[in-house]
Amino acid sequence: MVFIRVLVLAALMAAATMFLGWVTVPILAAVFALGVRSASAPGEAALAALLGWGALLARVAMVPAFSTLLPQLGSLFGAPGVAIAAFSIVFAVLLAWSAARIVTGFVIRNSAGSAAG
Amino acid sequence: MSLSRAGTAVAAVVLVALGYAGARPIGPIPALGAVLDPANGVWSAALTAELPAEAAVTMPGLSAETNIVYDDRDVPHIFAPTELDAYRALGYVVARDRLFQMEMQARAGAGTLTELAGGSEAVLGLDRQTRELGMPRAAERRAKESDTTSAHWAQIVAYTAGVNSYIESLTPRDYPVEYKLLGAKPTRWSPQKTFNLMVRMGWTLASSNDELTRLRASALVGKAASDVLFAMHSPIVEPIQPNQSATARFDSLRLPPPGAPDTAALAVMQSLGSRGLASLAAFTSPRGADAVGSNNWAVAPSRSASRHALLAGDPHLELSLPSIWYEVHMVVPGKLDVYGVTIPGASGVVIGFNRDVAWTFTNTGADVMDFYAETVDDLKSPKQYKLDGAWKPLEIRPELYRTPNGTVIRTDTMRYTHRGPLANVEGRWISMRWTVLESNRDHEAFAKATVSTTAMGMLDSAASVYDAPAQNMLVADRAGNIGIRSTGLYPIRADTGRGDVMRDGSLSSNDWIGRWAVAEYPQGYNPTRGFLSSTNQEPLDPRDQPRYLGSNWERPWRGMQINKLLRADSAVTPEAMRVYQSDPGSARADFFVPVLLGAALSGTSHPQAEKLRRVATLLGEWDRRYTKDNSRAVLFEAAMQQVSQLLWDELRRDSLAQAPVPSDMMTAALVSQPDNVWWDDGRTSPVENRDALLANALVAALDGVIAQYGEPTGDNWRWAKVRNARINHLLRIAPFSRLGVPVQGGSGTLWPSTGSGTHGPSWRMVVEMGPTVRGWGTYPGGQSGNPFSKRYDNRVQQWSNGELDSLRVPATADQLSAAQRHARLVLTPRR
Repeated sequence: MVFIRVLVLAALMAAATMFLGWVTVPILAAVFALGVRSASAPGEAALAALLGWGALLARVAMVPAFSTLLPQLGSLFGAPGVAIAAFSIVFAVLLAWSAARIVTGFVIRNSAGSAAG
Repeated sequence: MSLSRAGTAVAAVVLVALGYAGARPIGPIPALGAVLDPANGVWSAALTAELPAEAAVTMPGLSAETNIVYDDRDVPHIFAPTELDAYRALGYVVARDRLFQMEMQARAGAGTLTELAGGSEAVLGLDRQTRELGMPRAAERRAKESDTTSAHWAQIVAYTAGVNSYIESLTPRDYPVEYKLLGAKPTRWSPQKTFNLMVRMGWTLASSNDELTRLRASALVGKAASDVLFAMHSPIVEPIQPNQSATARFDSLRLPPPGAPDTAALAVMQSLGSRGLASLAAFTSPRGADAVGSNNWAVAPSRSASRHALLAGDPHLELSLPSIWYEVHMVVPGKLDVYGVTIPGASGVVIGFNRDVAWTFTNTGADVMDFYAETVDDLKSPKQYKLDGAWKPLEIRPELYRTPNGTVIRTDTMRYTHRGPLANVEGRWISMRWTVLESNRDHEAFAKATVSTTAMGMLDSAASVYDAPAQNMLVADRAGNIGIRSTGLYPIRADTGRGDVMRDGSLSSNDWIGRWAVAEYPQGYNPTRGFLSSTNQEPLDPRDQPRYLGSNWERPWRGMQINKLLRADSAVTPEAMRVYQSDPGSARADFFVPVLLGAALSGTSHPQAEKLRRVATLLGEWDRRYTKDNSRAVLFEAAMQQVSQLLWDELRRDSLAQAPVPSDMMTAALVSQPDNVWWDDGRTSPVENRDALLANALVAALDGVIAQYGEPTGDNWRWAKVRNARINHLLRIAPFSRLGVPVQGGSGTLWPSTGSGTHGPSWRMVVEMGPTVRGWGTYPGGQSGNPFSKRYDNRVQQWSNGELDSLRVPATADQLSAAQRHARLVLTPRR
């Protein structure tokens, strides 16, 4: 069940990124955390971001021009191209994790508050 | 719970930080979201790097289906039912490959780069310079004054529609990578942008500042010497318009000794100060003397192996990636069949050929920019200027500079007299008149060229409408005619006729009083010698036409070299034309090396006689060819630099920012006067003559070369290590640039490599005008503007090697074999 919902979220993140841009990643992660209401939500959202953006990057990596782009982009930012690729995924992972973590924090605290009340 | 609160706090910090860095640039780092997004960011540029094999697009305004076939050289062949459809398709295909370049060049001409690239000091400085030169105003006037009912206006509008059709089809994913790095998006094209771009091109080609050089020299060594050092006519005569001489003529020169500073010039220089001088120098385009290097020549059937007329051209411009040129072929059955290169954003083929005529250009270097010292009503904020005793209102134009989000970051007030822009140069108000700001029919000239059927017809149609930037237009036709004409608006000035002096702006009698008649233009048609050529040199033999056309002409070494090659070849082939374009021989070296060797060998009593003998041996080993592997050219170039340093010491002795150093033409002219006082290095006690100064220069050159490159062993002195081309990306992004590209040539050769290496042959073309036209060409770049495309720089190596591709010129799409077809695009009308 967890695996499937992560896959679904990953697919949603990939599609939303394609059509609406990178800002959809934390938004989807936050919505996901709100729906799941589980302490594992940030981790799952982060994993979904990794899979979603990883798939998008893999798609780019399939075209011949990627082999030109990778070193040039690395040179542009003064780092190996692979590091920029990794950083891209880390960027999405952190966006997803942080958004989901904030929501989860509030949800759990509110739930605990309600239970105590 | 406390752990959870801390985690939430950390997450909040991470989210805010990433959100901020994702959405906004931080210093030089672009907004990370737009860069790192694998679907829409920089990564996605890989997805659009290559053209799809098949594509179909609907386009409003198209009359019928238009087919575009990209050949195996990535050149689009446009087969359209009407001319307007062809121009619409041209706009589309050029934008498809070069959209960012188009926008950047147009903005450079409009002075709105800050709206694209932000308001940094450097970018703002470029925009201010553009507006101070009056270029945006001139482009706006061109658009306003254009005849909107004319055929060429309709072509510009169709081209614009094609560009906008492409822009409208884009999603953020498809934006060129530069937009993503800048966090920008494409803006709609307009005819105005085409005009902005063309005016900017005029600045690149037709701005020189001879007034300043002469002033500087007069302030140092007096007017008499300055007038000869920067004479109106070149001391070496090898004109474009064929004269009676079989070879270059060295006119005798009477160079007066350095005199007392001219007090008037000194006063002007001192009043301008260094800031003022910099302001005036800003009127000149960034090309240095060594950057000029365009060549063209044509051979009549009587001297060609095939008995067909041949034409070659290689305009030298600042090299860039993507290249300034885009190669294209446009076919409209019965109306248009033109192949050549267009400037992305300029709606037509600028250099190329049709089935009947081929044409190309070099820059004339004529003086078409004059300065006037104006009298104004208020030195701080003038509103009027005086003309013939009466006050005339200045045209006031506020110039606002904005950031990409529309914030105004600076406002300038520009003023115009009837002559042109008025600038405050350290308290003195100086106006400028410049043909580039007044011309408005260059597009029409190019459009007419594409449909000309004879060489003379093409020259005449261009001369009837073309004003600026003045160009040596070379043509060859299928009937075997060859012709050249230096076409453009050449002003006639009052009294002395000189344009290289600053005139009193308060008198209308100092205004231009007319323009040269076309019959007076430098020109040649089917000369008996069987060939024509131009290399930016003085176009007329002053014995034939002494009237002022300009001064400070480009050195004629290249002209001498190509003419020598052509005179020696009575059966020229297209292959020979190609080889000549990167010929490593040098008329300059042929002239100076014997002189230098003579000085070295006669220096037996020189304090460093041993070193002189060594220099003579090393220089004597040189074959005077600037091949990439050559290991002696470096010594010769160092020697020539030292000669210039020592010979013109009188002109380098003050604190002026840029010493007015004469060209090596003047050095050559002085060689026949070994005891002229100018040979004396005034900074040393003995009085040097020619050979003594040359010996000192050679010793210093050897010391300098060894200090910089080591002993002349191995490949220490290899020419390709010393001089090479730097092809910078438009935004100077290093990974997108190609630097250190080896070239075969040096100063004064047909492929003159410059010190910085930023200029060179921007397009090389050879055409044979037989019953079936044949063409060859290449340029240093590739058709695509996408740095990740294999089409981005795939011609650089070929260009570096001096090789050309055979151009495919199909009359119909079917004439391209399957192997020759790389991709296809079908445009259909949108109903």
